[in-house]
Amino acid sequence: METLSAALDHVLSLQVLVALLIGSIGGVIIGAIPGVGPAVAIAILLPATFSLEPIVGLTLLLGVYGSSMYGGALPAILINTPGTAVNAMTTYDGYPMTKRGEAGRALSLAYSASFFGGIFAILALILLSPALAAVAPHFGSREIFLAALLGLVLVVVTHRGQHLVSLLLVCFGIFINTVGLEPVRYSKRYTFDQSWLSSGVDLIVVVLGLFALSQAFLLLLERDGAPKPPAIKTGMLGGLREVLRFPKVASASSGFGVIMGIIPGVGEFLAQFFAYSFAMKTSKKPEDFGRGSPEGLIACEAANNAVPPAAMIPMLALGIPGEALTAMMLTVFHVHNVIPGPALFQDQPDFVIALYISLLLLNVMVFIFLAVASKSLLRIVQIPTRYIGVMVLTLSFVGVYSLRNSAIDCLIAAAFGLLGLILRRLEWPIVPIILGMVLGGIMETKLRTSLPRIKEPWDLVNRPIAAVLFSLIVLAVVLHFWALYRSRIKR
Amino acid sequence: MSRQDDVRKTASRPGEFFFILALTVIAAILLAQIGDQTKFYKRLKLPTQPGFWPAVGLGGMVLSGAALAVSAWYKRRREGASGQDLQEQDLQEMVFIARAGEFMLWFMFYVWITPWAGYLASTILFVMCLAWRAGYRTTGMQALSAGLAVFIVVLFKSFLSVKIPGGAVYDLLPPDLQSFMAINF
Repeated sequence: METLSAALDHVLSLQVLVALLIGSIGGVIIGAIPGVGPAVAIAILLPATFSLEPIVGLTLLLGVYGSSMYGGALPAILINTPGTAVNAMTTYDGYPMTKRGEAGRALSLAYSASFFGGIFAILALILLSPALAAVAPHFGSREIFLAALLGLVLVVVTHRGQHLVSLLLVCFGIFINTVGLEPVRYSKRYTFDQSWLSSGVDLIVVVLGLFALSQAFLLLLERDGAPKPPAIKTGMLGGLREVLRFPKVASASSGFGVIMGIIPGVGEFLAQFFAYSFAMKTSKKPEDFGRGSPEGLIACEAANNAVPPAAMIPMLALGIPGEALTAMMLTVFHVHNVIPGPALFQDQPDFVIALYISLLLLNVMVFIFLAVASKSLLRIVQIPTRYIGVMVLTLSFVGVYSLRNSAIDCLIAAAFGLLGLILRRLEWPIVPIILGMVLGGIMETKLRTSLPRIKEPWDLVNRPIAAVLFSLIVLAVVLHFWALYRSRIKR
Repeated sequence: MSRQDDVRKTASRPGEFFFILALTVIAAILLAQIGDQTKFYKRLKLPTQPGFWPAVGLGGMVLSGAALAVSAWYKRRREGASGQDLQEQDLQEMVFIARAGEFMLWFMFYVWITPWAGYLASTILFVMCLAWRAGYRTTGMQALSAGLAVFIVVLFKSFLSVKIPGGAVYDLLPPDLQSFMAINF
């Protein structure tokens, strides 16, 4: 009870509530602008949050993260252009509904399903907390090393049709992270005697380059366009009732979101894929899927919005980010010397509970905001593409330059921007580079810490949790090769 | 299905082969320098050597890059008659990427001018000029751009207090105004 009261003290401070309001409304707006997305916004805001209290900074970023997918549904449904990449599947059934004059119903369904998914995942997070608090202290260096390795393996095997590309980019991320002084003996690695390389390549600089600058370059180079969305005629509140008429689809899809969010390196896409397949298989009208099925829309939105709270689980409990956005948030923790991991649940449970409450409030705020302001948000969808490019490039400067006031950082970010542009044009994923950098760093430190206690290779996996993690790694690799073999046989 | 669609479906994307090749060659060159660029300690186990993780990263890049390059090469050979089209597409793609260089320069100009002109003036100048370059040349759009620039500066510098130093030009202002400008703009 004391912990809960301390957590409420954190959340109910004016600063946190303002951060929550700005983050959630800002996130919806950012999500509704096609081509920006939460990764770009979080990358830009990241350095600005360093001067804030940890809970305030994190609430702001969580607000953007958790609410952007709500906003992303707006252009996906109205103009067939997903606001964020994870809203791509929303277009399958959302846009056909708009074409038959049901834009208001589709939006209301999407928001309600997102709300359901978000609340479901937060409840799962709260219910799982005692178990996490009990298990987390059993994670030593070798377990965290194996969990990070599992994350990298899953990043590679879950990129269907791009396994080698993902492996290449993960390895690139691992290498980039090693440039500069190594963490134990402080000897130089790949600095070529250049002093500016001694401090290494900053994760935020890379993130801003790969996500924000590359997106700005792409938007500025593309043909200009200002879409004209149709008017929304009906109210926004009927959707929740309709979602509750499909409890199996909504709950199962949110469940997929939670599971995929917890597993490092998997994320929204697989959650939506499983949820959509499940909804189609169990539906009485599977022929409607892809032609404006409410169940299809509910499945996608509930699944993708259940991922952000669930993705906080491995980050808070083990300090292992499951995807790029939580990797960025991890830097906020470290800047404020709040180290996520097993000790966090024991030492600062009020902080963890405050984050849960913030997430809960965030979903309620966003839902109310969208119910009231959706019609006004139509103007945001109409911002011309190239003008968004101008805005993103201007904002990227704040993100990079305010870190260390370094022109070299800006040059490195610009170079990564060019690399990100090439990756986007090739339709290669960017996330493996970020996870390679973050998880590669964790793996190096944890392996070196655990080595003095390892006499034989077997010692690495001779503890129960380590053995389970190792089995999961082997299972993931075996299943991957088995799936490849079967697809070859079929062909 | 048209011939063009067919090529798109089976081919590696324009420029992909050359990009993979470049990445792989760079990784191989860096890997070859591991002896010079990392220190080797005689008594340490291999995984604790400073060069172990760079070797993992670069080794993985070389192996996966080589496999991808071979696969992309076979795809290109299989396409046979469309080879000419592919080379044209590769070239077009490289030109597209090179065009981004212009906006890199715009960005670096903004970085260069800020310590001189100050965050407020440089942002107004940058946003208005870039908007002009992007085709938004009406008085309304230019005024909107100036307003947007002021909003960004006020939000980040005045409200969120991000660390961007005052411009050298502020030294020319009266002392009171100088510190006000340095703190807020």
